[in-house]
Formats: sequence, C-alpha cells, structure tokens
Amino acid sequence: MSLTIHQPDGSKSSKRQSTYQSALKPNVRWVDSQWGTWLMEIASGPGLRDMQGKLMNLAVLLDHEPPDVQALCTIASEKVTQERLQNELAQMRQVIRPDLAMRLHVARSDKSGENVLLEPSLPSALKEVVTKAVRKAANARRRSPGGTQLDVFAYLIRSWLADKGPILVKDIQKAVGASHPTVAAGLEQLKKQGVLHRLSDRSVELKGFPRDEWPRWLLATSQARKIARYVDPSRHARAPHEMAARLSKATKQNVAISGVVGALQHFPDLDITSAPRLDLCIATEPGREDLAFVRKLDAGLVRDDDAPYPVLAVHLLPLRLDKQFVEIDGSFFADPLECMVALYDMKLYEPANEMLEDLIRRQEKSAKPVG
Amino acid sequence: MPRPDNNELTPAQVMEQVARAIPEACRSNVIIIGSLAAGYHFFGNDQSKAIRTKDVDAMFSPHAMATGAAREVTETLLAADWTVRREGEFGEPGDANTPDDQLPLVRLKPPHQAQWFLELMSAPGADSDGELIKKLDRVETQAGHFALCSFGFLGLAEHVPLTTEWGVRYARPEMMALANLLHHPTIGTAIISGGFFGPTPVKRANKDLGRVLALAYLSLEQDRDAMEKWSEAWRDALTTRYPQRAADLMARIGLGLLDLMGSRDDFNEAVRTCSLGLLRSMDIGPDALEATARRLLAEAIEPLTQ
Repeated sequence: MSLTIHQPDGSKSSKRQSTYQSALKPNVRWVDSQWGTWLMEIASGPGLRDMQGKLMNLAVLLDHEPPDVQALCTIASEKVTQERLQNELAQMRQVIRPDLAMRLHVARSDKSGENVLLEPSLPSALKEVVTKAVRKAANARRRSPGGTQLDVFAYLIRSWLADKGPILVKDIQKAVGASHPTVAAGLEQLKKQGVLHRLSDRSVELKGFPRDEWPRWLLATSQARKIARYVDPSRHARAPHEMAARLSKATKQNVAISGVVGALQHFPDLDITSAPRLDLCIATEPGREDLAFVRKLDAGLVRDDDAPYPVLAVHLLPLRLDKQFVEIDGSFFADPLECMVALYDMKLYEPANEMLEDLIRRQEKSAKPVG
Repeated sequence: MPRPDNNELTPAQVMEQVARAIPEACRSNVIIIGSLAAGYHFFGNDQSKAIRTKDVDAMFSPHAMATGAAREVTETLLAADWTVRREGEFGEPGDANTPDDQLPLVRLKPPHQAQWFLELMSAPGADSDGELIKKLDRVETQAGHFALCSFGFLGLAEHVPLTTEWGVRYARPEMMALANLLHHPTIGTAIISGGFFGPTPVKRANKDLGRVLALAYLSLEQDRDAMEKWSEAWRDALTTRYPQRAADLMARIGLGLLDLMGSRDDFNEAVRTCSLGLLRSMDIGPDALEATARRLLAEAIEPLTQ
C-alpha cells in the first residue's frame, strides 16, 4: 500500500529535510501515513511478520530523515500482546544503529483502529492519528489498490525475460493496473539509472537486466508481500512435491506452484536436491483469501506467519497477478520471477542467482540489441 | 525422555515368549491385541523401544472355538509352571457354583518373571452387532472356572490380522484404533486406577483414545498417507463385519475424538497416557498429537462420513 511516496526529488520534504537527501536515498520507499515529524506504518496481524518488514522499512527511511523525525509502526491486531510487541521492538533495536533504534516505536490497536496502546512516552495525540491511519489503511486494502512502482518494475522484467520487445506505456498501465503517475514515476526511475530505452511511439524497453535495481526490488517486494506460513508440529508433513500433487484435487481456485518446485519447471538445473518447503501463490482480493484448501494438502499443518522454517508458504498476491500463472500438464505454476521471489524468501540465494543468470543468458542469446 | 531399563524386553521378545508358550495347535486361534500387538508392529526387536505393558491380551478366534482353545492353553500353561495371577483385585478361580459374572478372567503369569502376564479374551460371536456390552463365557479347567470376556467391537481385531513368524497373529493397528474409537463415542466417566499411569486415576476413554492417537502417530511415521489407507481399511472392515449398521457406525467414528479435542484437560490426559505407554521412548508433545488428531479426522474419519 503506498499512500505517501517519498519522492526522489524531495518535493514532499521540508527544506531542512532536503539537506539529508543523498544518492543513497531509497527512491521506491513509502509509508502508510505521515503526521508532522512522524512516519507511520500500519501492519496487519495476526503474526508479527508484516510488522517486522515495516519496522525495517521505517528504519531505512529514518536513516535519510532529520534526527527529529520518528517512526511508529502500529499492528492492527488484538492477538498480539503488548509484551510480545515490546520484545519485538527490543530485538529490532538491538540490530540497528542506536541513533535510529531510539526513533523507532511500536503501537497496537484493534482491527478497526480503536483501543490504541502507545508507549507511555509518546504524545497521546498520536492515538487519534493511529486510529485514522488504521482505518485509512483498511479502506485502501478493501479498495484493492492498483499496481505500484514495484509492479511496473516486475512487469518490465517479465517482458524483458520473455523477449517481448518494446511495450507501449498505456499497455503497462493496463496490465499492471497502475495510475499514469505511478507508471511514469517508475519508468523515470529506471530511465535515470540508464536501463530504460524510450522509443518515439511511447513505448519502452529495458536495455538489459537492471542489476542495480533488482536487489532493491526484491527487498521491497518481500516486505510488501503477505505470506501465510504453515508449520508442522509433528514432523509428519507430506513432502513439498506430494502436497503439490494434491493441489488440483484440493481446490478449484487458481493456485500456482512456486518456490523450488515451481522453479524446477523453468530451470531444471536448479541446484537443490530437495525442496525445504512448498510455495504456492494465490491471487485474491485483499482480506478475501480462502485458504481452506490447505487442510486438504495436509490437515496437520498450523498457520504461523512468523515461523522461520515453514513447510508451506502461501503467497497472497493481488488478483490481477493470476495472469502470470502458467498451466503445465493440468497444474498451475508461478512464473520464473515469482519463483525467484520465493527462493530469496527462503534465503536460497545461490540457486536463485544461478536461475536468474540462466534466465538472463537465455534472454540475451535470443534478443536483438536495443538502443 | 524415558529410556527402557536394561532388563526390559523388546516387543518381539515378548511376542516370541507368548507364542512359544501357546500349544502349536492353538496358535492359529490366537490374535494378540493391545499394546504388545502395537509395539510388535511398530518396534519389533528395537532395543530402544522396550514396552512397559503388563497385560498381554490374547484374543481367541473364531468365537466358536474360543472356549475350547482357551481351556487347552490355560491347562498347558499351568502345567508348564505358569501361575494364576491373584494379586490385588484379581481373585481365585471359581467353581461350578460361581455365577458367570463373578468368575475371574484368565490371567496367567509366566514362570520366573514378573514383567507381564497373559490375559485371555474371546472374539465376539457372529450374533454380535458391535454393541458395547461385555459378554462372558465360562471356561472350565482343572484349576477351576474362569470367564473369557469379549466386547462388541473387539471383533474388528479379527479383520485381516497380521501374522508373526511364530504362528500367532496380531491385530492391525488401524483395526485396534477403530475399535477404540467406536467404543468411546463420548468421554465417559469410567476410570482406571491401577497405577500404571501414575497415582492419579485416568479416564478409560482418554487412555483408549490416546492409544488411537499413538497408533496414528506411529503409522504416520512410517507412511505420510497412512490415514487415507486407514479410511479405506475401516470402510472395508465395517461393511464386512456389520453390513447392516456400517453407515451408522461410520457416521459416529469421530465423535469421541472430537470430544477429546474439545477438552484441554482430557486431551492432556490422553497425551500423558501415550507418553507413558506406546510413545514412551519418544518425545511427543500435545502439539504433535493435535496435528495427528487433525490428520486422523480429515483423512481417515471425514471421508467415511461424507
């Protein structure tokens, strides 16, 4: 969700803030809300994973803000105890620079934004602001927002890997479901980096694989992504490929196989002997995901979105992204980009990088030079 | 995690002792049920998995031959220096004047060891339709009169039993589980106060349904799809043994388990009996057995109710 975009030119920042702008300023970062010198993020529960990503996002942003700017991440879930929340913050503060750590704060509210619990040292006026921000975030989720700059980038990468040639800007806008300013900002960003070739007919094409922007996109994508994670308390879970084989009988929804099992469809040389988990992708309206089918894959699994080593991870994608699913022998598979996101989420960096390099090599072998 | 004592026997060793003690002519009439059957099936001769079972349950099958075979086995064992177990609540053999319901069950201790005793039972008769009532048949031996008991759903242990290398057979784990599930459609108030599970009395239903979870857990250790196979085997057993009532029985298989899962205290008691019984050598907690219960419900029980 991007409500306030931190513009690269600092146009939304004060003059004083602009002095802190630098070449390292994260260009594609945003927060859910801003209030005075407060940056605010709203995380959804029931686990803390969403909050962890948002806290990290806030920490990165604070690094480029004046020292009086503070950040508050609110989790809109009553299921998280205040103690757990404070523990999470304490852990986060231990691993980031002290000058940033003390400017990071957490709060909790119920789903509707009411009953806000703040650290006692914070201004009580924040409560009302938090309530409004939670409601705004919930409304934005319900409206199923259009594509973001992340989606624009992903679309360009997919098109480039598939060697589709130049694409009209309006087609990007349509495919991604993003507004014109969002698409334009995304393209401008890539243009500045020198990786985008603009043609006279309002079409664009990547000149090559945008290696500099790629890691930032991965990080931002994984932080923005909601993943339902499942653990197996009895160590009797079916193997990933066994669960995948049951998928078509378990649900009539379009659920795509991703992660290692999916990547093997696109890159059979993937250097992983056995998948550590099954990754699935389901394209759904926010808050309307139907994950009842998981019980048919393995009824023993328990959802725990904070689990570091789940046996099943279901990536909840915006509805429009089911167009990226590929049907092979009656099963849906996520496209290579999606599979790589899952590999990085599992920290399988080396195999993911090998897969990426293979995809780039294949593209470069078949593509005509541009620009 | 409790480890077996050095002098404890493996399930295969106990099974061999029991089988060799039974006259060869009667061995094919014996089906071992209960914890020895389960221990033998899952652990065999694994030295790290000795069993703590005190009562080895031997069911005579078919029902028509049970009394005769039980008499022969009892007299053979007593002649071989086995003794009638008389401790505690287990009384003296009766005589012709003792009413059936006051006769002791046949419980025999092998010579020179006190780890286990043999308890003889009977498969239910052909007229049994799976009712829960306990039936007693008189066994007249030279040492006195005993009762051979049978329970309605014990007949499921007769369904396609497995064989040992010594000629006696043993009940399939899934059939013992099914009998226990059907025997406890609710968590009843009956308790066991024998001390096996510690000083606190344990509800019989919790112990028996805990056994179901342990059997399921161990089966899943061997085969991740075991619960689906149980479902098919249960359908076959119920339609074969109780053709008139099969649909009704299938509909109620899971009731007791759902009750157990709905009561934290009962579930924890069931887990405790498992960790003192079949799962003793393993470190299995409530979370793992809850996962097992969910798999049992979803993959073995629910397909039969649809």
